Amino acid sequence: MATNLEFIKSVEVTSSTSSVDIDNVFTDKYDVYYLSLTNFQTVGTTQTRIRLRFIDSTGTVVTGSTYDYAYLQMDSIRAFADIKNTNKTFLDYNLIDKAPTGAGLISYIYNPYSASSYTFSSWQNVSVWQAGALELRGTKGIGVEKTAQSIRGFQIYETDTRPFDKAKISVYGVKG
Amino acid sequence: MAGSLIKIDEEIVTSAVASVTLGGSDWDSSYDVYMVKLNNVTGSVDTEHLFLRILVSSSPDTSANYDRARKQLKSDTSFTNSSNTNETKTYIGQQIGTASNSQTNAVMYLFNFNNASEYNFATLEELSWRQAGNLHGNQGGWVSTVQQASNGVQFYMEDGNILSGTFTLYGLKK
Repeated sequence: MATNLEFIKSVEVTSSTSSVDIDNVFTDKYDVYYLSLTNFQTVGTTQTRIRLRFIDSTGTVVTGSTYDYAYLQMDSIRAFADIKNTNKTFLDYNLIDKAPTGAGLISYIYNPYSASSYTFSSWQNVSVWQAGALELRGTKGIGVEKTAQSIRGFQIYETDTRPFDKAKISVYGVKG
Repeated sequence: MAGSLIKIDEEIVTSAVASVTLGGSDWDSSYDVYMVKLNNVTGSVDTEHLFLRILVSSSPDTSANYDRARKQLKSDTSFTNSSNTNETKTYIGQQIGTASNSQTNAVMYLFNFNNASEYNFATLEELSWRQAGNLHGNQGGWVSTVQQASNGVQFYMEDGNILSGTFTLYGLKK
């Protein structure tokens, strides 16, 4: 029986980098996409934030102040926090660091390819790191890129010049 | 989940309808878990919610047996808890309307729908660009507190019609 979750592309990070582009994955074939980020690990032991920006139809990373997001941050050793922002230049996910801790994330992306709609995202993430005590932090979030434009891909990047050297990012189309 | 998502039913709305039904005569009871995907759902009246009822013998269950518990995520203001019991429907979308880009998108996983001796319940992961021009969403779940089997779900707007949207029901292959 044919499945309606269709694999599109996987990108593996195997050497040190501060960003990775997953380009030419959104097309007119699907309206909704499923992303998974697994085995995400930094080179060093100090945490860095991982974020997402979209890539427009010309191949340019969308860096304008057009992103809104909100997520519930759940932490094993700290108070939970409500994180919200408007008019930012990215969608913010969480902190990550070096193995054996690491991070994983799944996300749905809605309407990226439509030139007449904003692009929406929801996600669930979990990360573990060791900065003193072992710390588990999960996020459940939503986000939007507020430009009615066609989006063909996305970029995952870190923010603190603390590159990552392991990750597998996979994209699937959720076929209607 | 890769390789395991099987489409059962889909309704694509391109003109105003009072409600959308997934399942009913199209229901396939051979799955334990179902996924419902909502994409680009819009309404005809401003600042109204999208509601859901389960189908029992293909008819909407209007009894006051729906409970909900969610965290409402809001990009522009403080988060809130959304909970209630014994409602006659459950809330799915936020206050959407006819403003540009206003819409609801969501994924739900449905459990126990074929089990007559247990409640029917679901997770909810939803986001809406509201009529007011901001991003709000729900992370949580809902339950119908009746021990009964059900065979689908119905969506309708708090007021007015559903103007557009793609509503899809999948089974998760065992």
